[in-house]
Amino acid sequence: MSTTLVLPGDSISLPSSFKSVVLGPGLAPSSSRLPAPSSDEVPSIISTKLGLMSSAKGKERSEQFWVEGRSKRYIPAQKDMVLGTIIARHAEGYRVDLGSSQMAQLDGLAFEGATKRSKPNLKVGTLVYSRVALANRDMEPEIECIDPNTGKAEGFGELKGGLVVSCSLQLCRHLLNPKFIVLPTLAATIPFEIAVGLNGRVWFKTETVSESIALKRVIEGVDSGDIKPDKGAVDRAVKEYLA
Amino acid sequence: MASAGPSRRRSDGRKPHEIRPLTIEIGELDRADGSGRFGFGATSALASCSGPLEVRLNQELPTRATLEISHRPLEGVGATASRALITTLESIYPSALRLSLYPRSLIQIIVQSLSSSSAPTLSTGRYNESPEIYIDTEPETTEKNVWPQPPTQSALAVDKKEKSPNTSYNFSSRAVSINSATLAILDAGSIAMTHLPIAISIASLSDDDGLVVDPSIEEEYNSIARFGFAWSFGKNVSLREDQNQKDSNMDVDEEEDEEMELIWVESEGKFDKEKFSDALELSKIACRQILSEIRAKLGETLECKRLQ
Repeated sequence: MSTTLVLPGDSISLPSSFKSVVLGPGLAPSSSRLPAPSSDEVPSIISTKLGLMSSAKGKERSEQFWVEGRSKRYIPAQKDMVLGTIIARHAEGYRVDLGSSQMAQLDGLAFEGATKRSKPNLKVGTLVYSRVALANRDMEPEIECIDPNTGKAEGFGELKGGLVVSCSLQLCRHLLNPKFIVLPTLAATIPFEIAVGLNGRVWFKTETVSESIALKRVIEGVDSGDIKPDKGAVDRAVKEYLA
Repeated sequence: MASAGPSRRRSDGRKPHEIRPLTIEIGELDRADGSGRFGFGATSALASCSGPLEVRLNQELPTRATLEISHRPLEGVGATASRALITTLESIYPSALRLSLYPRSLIQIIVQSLSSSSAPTLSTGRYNESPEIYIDTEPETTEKNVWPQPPTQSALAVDKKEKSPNTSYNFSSRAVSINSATLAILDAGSIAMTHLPIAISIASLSDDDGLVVDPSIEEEYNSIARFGFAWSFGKNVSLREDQNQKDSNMDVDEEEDEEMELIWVESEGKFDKEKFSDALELSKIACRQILSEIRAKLGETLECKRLQ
């Protein structure tokens, strides 16, 4: 992982040795408002947000590039796993708040084993863990609580009890990475159940209130930079908060 | 270049082309998606940026995001001066942001001025280095709530220099507003931005004297001409080819560097074309310097908040 800081408008030079290059968030071809002098010219790539340039190996010798930045506002993208709160119900389904600019639609049939006769009955205010089925900038996003491949719930659905904390989108992405040390370290001390939404929300459930509070403080501490995401620092923080 | 050599010192000990120490902070506000504080010395502003948010139906645009920019003055309510500043910001940011990526949503930028808008009252011409001078500067004799405001009867206003009217912010306040809004958008990170606007103010102290970059409030008040420039930095931002026919007054702007483009100019007072071109050149150097300071500072901030 390289550590170059990029600002919007910075020109990004991509290595030419890769078969194909996948541009991730924060990168875009520069939209020169002039007609290109020579049309065969490759458009230059610019960064569109503040962050650190990152890259990873993708499929079939391709290389993925993106700008790793900090943001709090979620913009829905297909296949993201998100945590939403039901804010209204209507005949066909529910309207769910994901923290994005528009409410998401959750169909009443998008649950495991749901039929026209037996639909789950969720109250307003319920927390659901779901998957973004359709995300289009001109339409309301649609979410579902089943895995479309298997038709099973696969952990999606209503979340009962527990506590939700908000954090940056960057931390949520990292929490889903098995190599990110924070959750394995926490799990060594506190037994808990967790659901990480890519929309900047983390739900967890522990046996006691004090464990919940400790977990919340660790996650918020890592998010604000007060706790370094390494084993020693997290361990120390948990011990302190549990004491 | 200007007649005064760079060795001459200003009243606060700076060289003519030296900017005041910069304040650059991001992420100070917890509830906003992004926030930025920018200051030239004691003149500073705090901006927040949120979005894309849910938009009210009557403001909804089907093809692009609604950009809502508000300004809060340090004292009183936003009036003509605030409105003028908002118009400036509204002319700068729609081109810098890719609003078409977020149709039917709202992007909200709020700029809070942290320095006073009115001109300083100085019984003598002497410069006072304490920042308190910028606060509570309304003279007792001024009749309030009268428009247009009667001219302030300070010792400085007696001489026949053209003064900036009370209905507008001084140029360094406008420059910090632009720069803080840029920082806030950077910190929010959820809105694609193609280039980076950075502003600076420049003043001309007298006819034979040179130009000073980033004038203090007092310098600006005593100046004969004031300029505000904003440059936008980014790859392919420049419109080199149609620059000349676009505006014949701007032919000083034949710029070989395609990485920056002039996006805001305001000037007032007495100056000739030569002085304007000098100011333009100075602003370019100053904005580049600010950009590199922003880059260094944000690099540091991001590095210490890094997760891996």
